[in-house]
Amino acid sequence: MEDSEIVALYWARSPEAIEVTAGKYGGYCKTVAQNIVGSAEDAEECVNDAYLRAWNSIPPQRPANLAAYLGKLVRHLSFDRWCSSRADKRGGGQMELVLDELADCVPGGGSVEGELDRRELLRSVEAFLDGLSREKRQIFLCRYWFALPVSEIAKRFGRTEGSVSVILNRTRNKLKRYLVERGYNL
Amino acid sequence: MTAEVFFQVLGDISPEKVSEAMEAKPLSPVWHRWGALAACLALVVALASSGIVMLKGGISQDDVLRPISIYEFNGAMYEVLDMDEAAATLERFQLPRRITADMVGAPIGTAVRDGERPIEFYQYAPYSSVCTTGPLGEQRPQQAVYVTDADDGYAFALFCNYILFDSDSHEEVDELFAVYGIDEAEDIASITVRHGIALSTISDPETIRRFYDALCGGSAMGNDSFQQKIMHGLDELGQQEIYRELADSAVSFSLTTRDGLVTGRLTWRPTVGYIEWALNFYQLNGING
Repeated sequence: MEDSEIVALYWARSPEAIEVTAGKYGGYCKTVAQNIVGSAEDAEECVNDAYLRAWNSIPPQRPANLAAYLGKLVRHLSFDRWCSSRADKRGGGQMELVLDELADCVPGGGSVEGELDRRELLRSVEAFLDGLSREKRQIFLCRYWFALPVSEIAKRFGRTEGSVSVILNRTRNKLKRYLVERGYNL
Repeated sequence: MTAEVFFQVLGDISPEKVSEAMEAKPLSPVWHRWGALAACLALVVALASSGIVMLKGGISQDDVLRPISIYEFNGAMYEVLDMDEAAATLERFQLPRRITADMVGAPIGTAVRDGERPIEFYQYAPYSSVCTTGPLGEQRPQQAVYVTDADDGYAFALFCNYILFDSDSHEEVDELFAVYGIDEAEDIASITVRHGIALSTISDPETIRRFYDALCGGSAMGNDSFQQKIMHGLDELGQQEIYRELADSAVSFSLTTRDGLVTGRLTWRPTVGYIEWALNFYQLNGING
């Protein structure tokens, strides 16, 4: 079923919407969740929460890209779950590593905590990503959006893990320089 | 801001970019093997392409460096050229035959050699802005070309190799790229393939990128391990045969960067799938010999 038809089911408030969503995007959502939370059980709950969130937000939303929309919901919920489980010393997955790596290019100070500043930072990051080659952008996002393990990224792109790590390291360094040049305090 | 908040901010990037990243599906090993092989074959095929230029009396494979001395500096070996005798080498490395005062940059340290007085190394001003980015984000100036204050005037000091701990040590290829200010494939402007006195130049960005990726993705080893790997299990006759094959099939080439630096000689050994560069051996990613 086409995404537009699935969205139409949500708008019609048909319970079939979730069933079809799970059939088409269940595996993808679970992968996103599991990369972040680490545990299959937590991942399952995050995915179910995401379906509920989708049900409650469509309408009024009418996502043009349902996969990305669901991915964003799952990512957000999974990250919240991971933050709670980290406090309980549970967790696992890739998140500790991903956050350690991202710490390299995180703007310092409290200057980007506000919503407007966050949007401005997001615009800068988008512009930076636009300037990367397609493959490097994909690799960067596979790691820092999907939290995929480096080994999995290497497999997808036919590279060694070392090669992927080098690309990620250089891209982080470039992002850091890019943000510093735009006045972010790193 | 914390890394956690930054991760959340990243979560709001455009759906198009998310979809694009989702499109990256696992590659089949076969596709990758042929992809890497194709990049290297391009080097060889270039020899037979219309880009071949026959040079008369110019750069040739016999044009070895003719150093007046080798100095140690900053963990590496440098050849200090005799400027009166190095015309061919200077041409090959795209350097001027005479160094004027305005080409001499800041002093960077003292190079040493057994039994000789230490000499001062200076930056070569035209390349003073050529840098790569180190693992901590620091800027690393190029280390390929320096200027020295020899007795009879200024001379170039050209990078030969890092000082290796033993005959089985090696450097990662990133380190060699960094010497020439190469951070990524886009920093390489062209590959010049040499075969006897024939030269051909590859400047197609896609071919260069595939070559760069194959080299960066491959495994590195020192001389002893390389010898052991290719000679393992062969009797004396077999060893002679493989040496002959290696010599006959070798393809030499060098890289020219966007900043105009030219690397030392690299040698592609297609029969075993290795590239040799400054006594380091790199098995190209996806090619097992």
